[in-house]
Amino acid sequence: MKKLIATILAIVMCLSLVACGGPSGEQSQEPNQSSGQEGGETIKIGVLYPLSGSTATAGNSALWAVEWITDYINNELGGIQSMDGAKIELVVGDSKGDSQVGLTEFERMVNVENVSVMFGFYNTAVTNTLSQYCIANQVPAIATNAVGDEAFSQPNDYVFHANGCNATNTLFSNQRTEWMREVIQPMKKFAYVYDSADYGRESYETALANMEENGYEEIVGIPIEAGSADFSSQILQLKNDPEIEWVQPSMNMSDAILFVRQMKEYDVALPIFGNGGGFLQADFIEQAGDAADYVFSTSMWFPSMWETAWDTDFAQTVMDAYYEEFGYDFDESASCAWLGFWCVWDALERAGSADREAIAQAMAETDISGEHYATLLSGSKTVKFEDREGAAGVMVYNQNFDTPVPWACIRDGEYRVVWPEELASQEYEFTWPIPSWDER
Amino acid sequence: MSKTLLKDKIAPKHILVLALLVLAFLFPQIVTQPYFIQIAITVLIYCYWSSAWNIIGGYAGQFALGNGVYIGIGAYVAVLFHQEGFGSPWIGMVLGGVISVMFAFIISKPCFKLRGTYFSLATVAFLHIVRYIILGFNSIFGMETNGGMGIMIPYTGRWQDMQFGKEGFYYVILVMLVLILVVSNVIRTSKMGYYLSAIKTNQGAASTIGINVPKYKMMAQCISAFCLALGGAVYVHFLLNVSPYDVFGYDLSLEIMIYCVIGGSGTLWGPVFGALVLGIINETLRVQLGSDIAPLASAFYGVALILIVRFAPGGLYQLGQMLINKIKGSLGKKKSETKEVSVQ
Amino acid sequence: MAIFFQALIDGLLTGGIYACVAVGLSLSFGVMRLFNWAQGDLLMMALYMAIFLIQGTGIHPLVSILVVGPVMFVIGFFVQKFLLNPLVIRAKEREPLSVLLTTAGMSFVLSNLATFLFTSNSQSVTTPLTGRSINIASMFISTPKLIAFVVALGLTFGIQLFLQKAEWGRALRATSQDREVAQLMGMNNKLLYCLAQAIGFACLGVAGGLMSPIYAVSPSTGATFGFKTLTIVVLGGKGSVPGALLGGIIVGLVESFGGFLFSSLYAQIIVFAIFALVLFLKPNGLLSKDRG
Repeated sequence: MKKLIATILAIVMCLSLVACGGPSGEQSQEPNQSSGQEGGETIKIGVLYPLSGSTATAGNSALWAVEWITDYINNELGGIQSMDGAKIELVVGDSKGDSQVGLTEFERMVNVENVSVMFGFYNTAVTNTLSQYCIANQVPAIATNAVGDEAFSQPNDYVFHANGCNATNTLFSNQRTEWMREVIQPMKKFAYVYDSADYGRESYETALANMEENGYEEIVGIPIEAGSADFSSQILQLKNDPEIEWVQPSMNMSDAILFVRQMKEYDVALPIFGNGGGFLQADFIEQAGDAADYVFSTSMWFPSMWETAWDTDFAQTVMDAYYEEFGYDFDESASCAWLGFWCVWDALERAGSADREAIAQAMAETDISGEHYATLLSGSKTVKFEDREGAAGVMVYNQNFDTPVPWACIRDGEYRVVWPEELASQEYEFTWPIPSWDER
Repeated sequence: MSKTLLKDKIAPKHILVLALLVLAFLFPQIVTQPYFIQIAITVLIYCYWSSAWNIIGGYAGQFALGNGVYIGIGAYVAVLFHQEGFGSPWIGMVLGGVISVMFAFIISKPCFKLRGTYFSLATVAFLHIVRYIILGFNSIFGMETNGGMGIMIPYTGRWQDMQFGKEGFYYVILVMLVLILVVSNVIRTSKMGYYLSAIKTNQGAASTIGINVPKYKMMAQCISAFCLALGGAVYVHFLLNVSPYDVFGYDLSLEIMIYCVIGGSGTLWGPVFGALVLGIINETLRVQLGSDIAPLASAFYGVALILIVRFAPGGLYQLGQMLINKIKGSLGKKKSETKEVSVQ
Repeated sequence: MAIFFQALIDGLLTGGIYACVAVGLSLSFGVMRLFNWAQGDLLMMALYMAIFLIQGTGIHPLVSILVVGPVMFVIGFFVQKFLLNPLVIRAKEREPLSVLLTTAGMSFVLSNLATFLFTSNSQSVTTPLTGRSINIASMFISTPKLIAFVVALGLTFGIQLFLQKAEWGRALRATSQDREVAQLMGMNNKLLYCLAQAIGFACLGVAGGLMSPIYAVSPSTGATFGFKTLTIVVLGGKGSVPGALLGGIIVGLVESFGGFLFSSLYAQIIVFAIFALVLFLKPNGLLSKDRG
């Protein structure tokens, strides 16, 4: 019996090896075409997002936006006009949030499928790796969503970023601080509870660097580990220090849910200015329930911002389509992808060819403002890729600096933008101070 | 006279190995598609790491599940060395190896006093401790490590910076793999290998007959740690990014162990075989079936591991041998030697 | 000063939950020298069961215990019978490597299966207990945690009683001390092992139900709790049920105070450091009398 099973296992293993011969048989022997395709009827764009794994929700959301826009361009706009109506063909890949997988997909897209442009990435680690490889292989790329600065810390001609990176976002949070100072007194001390792994840490470091400039006396840093089972000790720390005026947590969704629940449990009514993905995802409000009321959240996009679009009907159409697909509102990840992908279209139209160099050149010259598809569903109303110093003197390249990060307050299960005024929600009247747990 | 001797010395096995070697070296010239070279690189580095783990886990029979920590140490030391301007990452890589050995020495000394599960647990505990330290601090000894965000390695493309381009990395890692197989073979056929196998079978008895058990266990662990570290340094220069999730992951440690065991731990070719087969299956499944299926594929490996442990503890290597034996048997040839490969 | 007591209470209560999770592993390791590396992932499974049950039927979390507990009991029984017994019974050594590999494989399978079936998004429920706390003298005692602690205490007490007094329980202890002799005396080892594992799994089921009002679950939950559980079992000594409780409380307190005084990352490092120390100095647990 044992031998029989062992034999079967051996045969299965061998068969699978043979089956692996399949894809190898299809290998294309073409040498690298460094210039991408020549003209033709389609233009290929490589789209890489985490479609599985812990960041899959954001990845799939962004992909939806890319696919919707592609559909619109190909059908409503009749393709790329400057290329005689060439249609866009997407080559989609799943990075699983892992650099190595992302790299393998990159190779497939760039060298097997010969895409002209790379797009997406999302995770910082993947963006780091792929940005360098795009530079090395001279492939123009637009990275989306908020990422760390490192990928844009080297001057280059190929990798661009239309959304905020830490250096730019902090500039805005500094502006936000001005507003907060008018509203929240005395603004001397707050606590930063951050997920030590990702974006939150950089934000904390930058907040520290800007501390004096913003008039704080002290910022208490409380690192947590993502996926923690319990925040009691952190919340105790907060409770124990009466000088802490508000808390700024930066964490993922399941941590955020636990955090606000426990804040309620321990009756700590400190204003919560949530930073980061966890407080944005639609499920957060649903699963946190009434513990999420009066929580402030910051993001590059809130659903109510469609009111500020230059064509609200168009914006509504897209948002309705998104809602129909996902059951919750058009989110930040989709908004970032929206902005970025229209920039790709913009560059393609100006380049007039599928040649990578031409596209890279066109991207560098991007200058979007006013009534442009890109600004419809984004807080960014202009796009220009600059080499400039961001917050704390950090130098970044090919970075768009119009990337506001508004604050919204969760009331009655919805996000209501309160700052900046240009993007604020019409329906909600901002009040301060927020009521204690008992009063709600 | 010399002709007969030569003929006797070269077995079909050796010719096979030579042929494989030639094939491996010619691979990038035949298959020029960088996509496939990319996959090959990933497979090769796992073959390398699994073989390195095999030295302590397979030959010495010490289940050091937490040995992935040395991959991370090698990676970080090499990158930080270069980033802080001390010199070329090549030197950093060697330094990373040396520091890993130091760590291995300090950590393993108390660990080896434990037996069985406790030993494995202790090695994993150290892996986690180092990981938390890297995650928790933005800089170590004044050098910026960025905590969980990791360090990006800027692209320069120069070999001095340990950046070789696709083909280059393929050859570098292939050479490393060949070297570690040579080292493994030397260990296996030497006195040390004999002692290790005695220790693996029955540590107490080995000690009684006069084998210096602590010394040889430590030697195996240090060699393993050194090799793992070198691999880590090279690999992160391939990814151009080093992050604690990539190199200090418990999953990585588990993976190299699984490939080694499924392939056949304690044998020379087992780990290579395991990493090769599973790596190729991985890629195929991912491309053919799409990303949604990927976790299912990983679940399949767990099942495969359970089945192999139960029914074919010698791993694929043993299965392969059984298959060959069956074929030879049915062809009428008598097999004079029967190898009993056992993991226990 | 009140804050000190708050931290103390939190640590205690969380420790109780940890203990509930660790009891099963302690039994398994003590009776059969079977170290189940998949413990954390099994807890994740139980938590998913409880949460989906509550989401689907709206029952009270404490009621979910009555469902998930017995279900896990049965699962544990058969896992031991078909998967683990063949490896343990036949092995020549006390701690076969094959068991380690099999349970590590189980862990791999469970976490990936969960990712495939449920995606990596976390799931949680809002129950009548969620977010509630009792206010005593400016201290807040989390209601669900208090209930969990009481139940966990009761459970450990009950199991300890079972091991001391009940016939089956004493048989379990006998077989853990000397496998061969126990067999000679006529005990059915195979059945006893299945029973031990089943009890352990049932504890996980109970823990899952207790934790459902508090925590969210995702495929990575297994990893979070897995190593903590191993630490607790080593601290408390294998096979010792009161040891598991002690170990759980120690880890809970260290995390609570460590997190409060320094940061949770430091707290984790401290936990691991303590673990390493105990491994080297007193591998049989804090309560044992020998010097490692």
